[in-house]
Amino acid sequence: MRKRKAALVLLCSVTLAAGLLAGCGSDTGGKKSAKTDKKTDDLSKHVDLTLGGIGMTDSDSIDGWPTEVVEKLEKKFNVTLKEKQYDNESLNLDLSGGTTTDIVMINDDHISGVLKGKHAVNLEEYKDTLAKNIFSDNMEFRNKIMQTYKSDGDNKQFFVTPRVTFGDTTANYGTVLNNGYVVRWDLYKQIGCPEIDNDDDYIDALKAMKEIYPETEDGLPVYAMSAYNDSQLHTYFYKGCLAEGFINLEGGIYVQNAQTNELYPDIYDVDNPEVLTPFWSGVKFYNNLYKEGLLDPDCFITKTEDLNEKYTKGQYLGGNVNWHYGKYNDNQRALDSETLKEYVTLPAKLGWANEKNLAGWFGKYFFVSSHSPNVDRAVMVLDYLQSEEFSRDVDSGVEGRWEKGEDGKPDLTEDTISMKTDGSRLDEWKKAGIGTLGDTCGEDYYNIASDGGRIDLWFEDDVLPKSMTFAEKDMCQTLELNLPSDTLKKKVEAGTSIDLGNCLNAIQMGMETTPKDIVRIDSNCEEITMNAIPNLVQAKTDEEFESAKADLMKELEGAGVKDSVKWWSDGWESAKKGIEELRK
Amino acid sequence: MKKNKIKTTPSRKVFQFFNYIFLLMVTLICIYPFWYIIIYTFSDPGIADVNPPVLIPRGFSLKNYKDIFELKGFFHAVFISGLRTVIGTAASVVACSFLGYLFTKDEMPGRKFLYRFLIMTMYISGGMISTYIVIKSYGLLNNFWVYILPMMISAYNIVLIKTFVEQLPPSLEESARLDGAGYITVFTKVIMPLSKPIIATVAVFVAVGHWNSWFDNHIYTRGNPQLTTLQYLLYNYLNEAQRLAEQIKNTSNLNGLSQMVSSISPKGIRMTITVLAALPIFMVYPFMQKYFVKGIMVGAVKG
Amino acid sequence: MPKTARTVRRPKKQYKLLLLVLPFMLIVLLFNYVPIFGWIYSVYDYVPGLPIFDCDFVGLEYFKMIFRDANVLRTLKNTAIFAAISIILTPLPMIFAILLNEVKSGPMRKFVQTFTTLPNFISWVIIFSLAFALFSTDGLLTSLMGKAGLIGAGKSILSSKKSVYWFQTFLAQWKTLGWNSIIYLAAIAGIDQEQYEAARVDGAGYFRCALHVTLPAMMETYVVLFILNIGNFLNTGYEQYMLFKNSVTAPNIEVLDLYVYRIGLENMDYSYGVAISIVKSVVSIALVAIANLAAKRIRGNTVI
Repeated sequence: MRKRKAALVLLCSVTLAAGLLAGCGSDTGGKKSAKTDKKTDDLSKHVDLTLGGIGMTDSDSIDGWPTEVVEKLEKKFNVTLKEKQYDNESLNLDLSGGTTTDIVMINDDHISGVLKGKHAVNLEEYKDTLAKNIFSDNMEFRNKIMQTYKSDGDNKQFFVTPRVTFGDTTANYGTVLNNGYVVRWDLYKQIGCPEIDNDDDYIDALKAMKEIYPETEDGLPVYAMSAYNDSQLHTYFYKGCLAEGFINLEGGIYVQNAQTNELYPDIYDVDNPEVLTPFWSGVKFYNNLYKEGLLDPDCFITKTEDLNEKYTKGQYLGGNVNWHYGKYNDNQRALDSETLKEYVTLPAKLGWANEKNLAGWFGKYFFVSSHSPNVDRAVMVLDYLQSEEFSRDVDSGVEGRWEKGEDGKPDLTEDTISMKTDGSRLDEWKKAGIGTLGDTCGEDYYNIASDGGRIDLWFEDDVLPKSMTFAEKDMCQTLELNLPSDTLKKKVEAGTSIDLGNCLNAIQMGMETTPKDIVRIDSNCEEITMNAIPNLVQAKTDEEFESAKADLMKELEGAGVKDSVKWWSDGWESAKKGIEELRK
Repeated sequence: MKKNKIKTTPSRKVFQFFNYIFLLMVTLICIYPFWYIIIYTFSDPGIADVNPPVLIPRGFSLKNYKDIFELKGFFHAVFISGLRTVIGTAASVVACSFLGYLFTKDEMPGRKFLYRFLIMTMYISGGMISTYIVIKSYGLLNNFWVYILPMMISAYNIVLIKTFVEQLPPSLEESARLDGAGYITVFTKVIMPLSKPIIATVAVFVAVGHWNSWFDNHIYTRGNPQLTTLQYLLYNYLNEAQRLAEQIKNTSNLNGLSQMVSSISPKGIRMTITVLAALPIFMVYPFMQKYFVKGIMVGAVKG
Repeated sequence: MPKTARTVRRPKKQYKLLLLVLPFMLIVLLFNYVPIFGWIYSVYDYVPGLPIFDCDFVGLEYFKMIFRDANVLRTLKNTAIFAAISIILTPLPMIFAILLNEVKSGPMRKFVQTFTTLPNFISWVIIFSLAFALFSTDGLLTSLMGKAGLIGAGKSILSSKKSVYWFQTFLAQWKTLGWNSIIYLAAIAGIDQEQYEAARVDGAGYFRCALHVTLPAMMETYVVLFILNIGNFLNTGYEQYMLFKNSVTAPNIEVLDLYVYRIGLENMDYSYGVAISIVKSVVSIALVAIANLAAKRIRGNTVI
């Protein structure tokens, strides 16, 4: 009996030991590839490169891959390029096993792991050789931030961000707005196009529209709008950001004033009662909708998809953003190409446009994997992704899709413009690759390229009016505008609306990685708030609302929200100072 | 075989009547949602979006199916799923039934210990990352055999088979042993034929498990389009909307969002893949069914 | 240990059996036990990308956190309720199998059996879609329920906190009943026809046949499955609950597995997740051992 027990113990320890050995052996961590860094631009060998990131798409499922843009890249660098989609799980696994793609895109969660585990190549070493675009003068502010805040040593840079806005860029508002107060154009026109300057005006307009359109042609009930529940609190704070002039940090528990760049806790607002934060503005708005009977009773169970379905069926009168129109506009136009039945967007107080991403997009960091068998080539390709040439290709198509006119200014060809909306040329459009890999470009859409045209030629002033639908043209006629987006332009000029031109969104990058216990507190607070929403939105009187709010505040305090507020406020102060210093 | 007939009493007739009604209702509840999915897939996508079908397809159209068959890698995924189901089921059924038999043998040294060793695997797990590292160190990443080997020995199925075999009359095995048969011979000539119901059941369980599995694809063979399974294809479509919603939550960048949202495949595609993924099972099912629905095939074979 | 005359003769050990069994046990070892080294991640503050021994050592910190975390308590309660309900409902597949067996017509039996397994093949994502279409405020079934007076106007069962337990159980049973009854049908198929003959000779009617012949044949399977499933008391899976979770149902629907999934994904609290799963494993094994011993007391022999 004892012998058997001893055998058992032996077996267990041997197993554990074998496992540990296997584990240590494979968790490559800091092992670098054995070859020496040559920093050569020798392109004679054809290699396979993969580009992976959270939120990217698998190239195998992209129609038209390799697109014209990608083919150009492949030829230029003698590679075969593939894109790979990661999620948190698979990225963690690949990092643990040292099997990541050659170029990787991560968000803030993984930065410390990548740095400590030495998974990234120091791009600074290639400054004068293979990485000229990354280290160009225009990228200086971005690079300083990467070297100061997203690095582990002096003068080392591991990451680059996409879509860097150069200092002298001026943006326009596109043809149509994509955020604000959504209305049905035909109904809005019918009620006389009342001025909508704030949420109360909006609710009045919605009420009026509902009166003339109480149900759809198919007999389905009509509501003003609903909420989407698969993005946590986004549906509330985003609405509020538009109404109050803030931008949200990740998760929306903290917001940044778009004009003063001050940080405010969005939900736990006891320290700044005089400020109506986006979350409370949004929740109060939904509460008012509820009291007026305009809110979809399914608002707590609807996911984005179901939301789009209801929009397609025409069951909603309003909304916040133009990616929730469903297929309504397309379907109506298919029935009657001159229909006025379309959703359009009017401006709110904040036009989420004219963003100045001086340090690039937040939360997307590209690096070259130190485990890659082709580090040099990968650096070259990453550098090319950051270049003006590639950004122009992605946004406007390769040369040929746009040409230089007689005045020397580049313009999209008529063929390209018509191809975009021509359903019969869909395959050709996909092959052209306009818009694919849009997350990887180094330059912002509005930057002026060296040939005098914007990176994204679709935003050139003379192209903007070309894509208007009949309803949008009618809107311009009725409201005496050139473009539907001029509604925002007028308001900004009059001072009743703002855009993001003064918002320094790079401050976020100056913050340290959030420590685990603060992350836990924030995530708990988010959950607690989610659960409190039904009582808030469905409060029948103001007293009920305030009482539900007070209960929520107490619960948050119990979850440690004060510690979180302290960490974020202190962190923000030093980040703000640091970033503003770098700016000088 | 002269059967003693039991008198059909009135209470028996009442019972049978209600039984029929009850079972029919249950079946209906089970069928209708699937029927809804099927008629949805045969409806014109444009119409179904706005006005979903109730009993018959609205605007009969094969567009959904055409789209799926033209999907990149669809047929290859079907092939891979089929291959792993066939090989995996064969391997697993042989291994599990053999082990199920062996564990009934008291004369196995350390039987209790080994049996418990096996059953514990149902309740412990090392976690995803360590499993990944281990699989990688065995060289099974991006390798077809990662679909077969880890799932081959299933404690649950072994327990089922062991329980069944234990209930077989021992005289059958004894007489075979007296004739000098070894364990393997006894297993193949005596036990297996008698255990057809449970082996068929386990085969169905394992086959469906293989056919439906996508998680190992997701973790171990992602990089390799040659090894994509049908269910993983379906999983990607099913979760597009969810993944996008998560992205929206975490981003303050709106550019391109409307393009992303509109590029999510319509509901019809998801329903179609569901139908196509479930269909093969129902084509094979009737062949297995006769083994465990009594009356279709006589159960125990005596002597 | 002196053998009395009544001791059952222990069969002589056959070592060649080990030869047959060990190759398979090796596979079990390689794929199920070797990864257990991953349990060590629970005593380090794992950062993805860093080799585990380079991470900070935190000792039992995460285990202590389990007991301090209010979320664990809340989700445990929900898990326990769902588990208790499903334990009470374990005989359902057995009863269903008996009822099916009582159907005289073979084709009808095949028909019911085949189609009741259909829901098993519909993934939860689609089930949610269907449930939304049927049970949302303008859904088909909701209006029927409203007419029957079961639900108030403008309300939906999907956004009702108190219906969570039984509605989710209903959905889970709908999905698995037909499938779970297969194993019992197999057990019935293995019954020797002569046993029915013998019972009829003794004058048994249909009901007594079912009770004394059919039922006992399934009992052994039922007991074994019951004991195995007791071990899965805390493992409810997360997919179903994740889909039906919303701000109204959240307090009641969030089970432990969903919480672990959420913190693993959102907070990257991987080590915490491993700590919780270790505790769950220990609880599972303890439950199985207890159930096994109880079975020994009641029925005279252990199942495992």
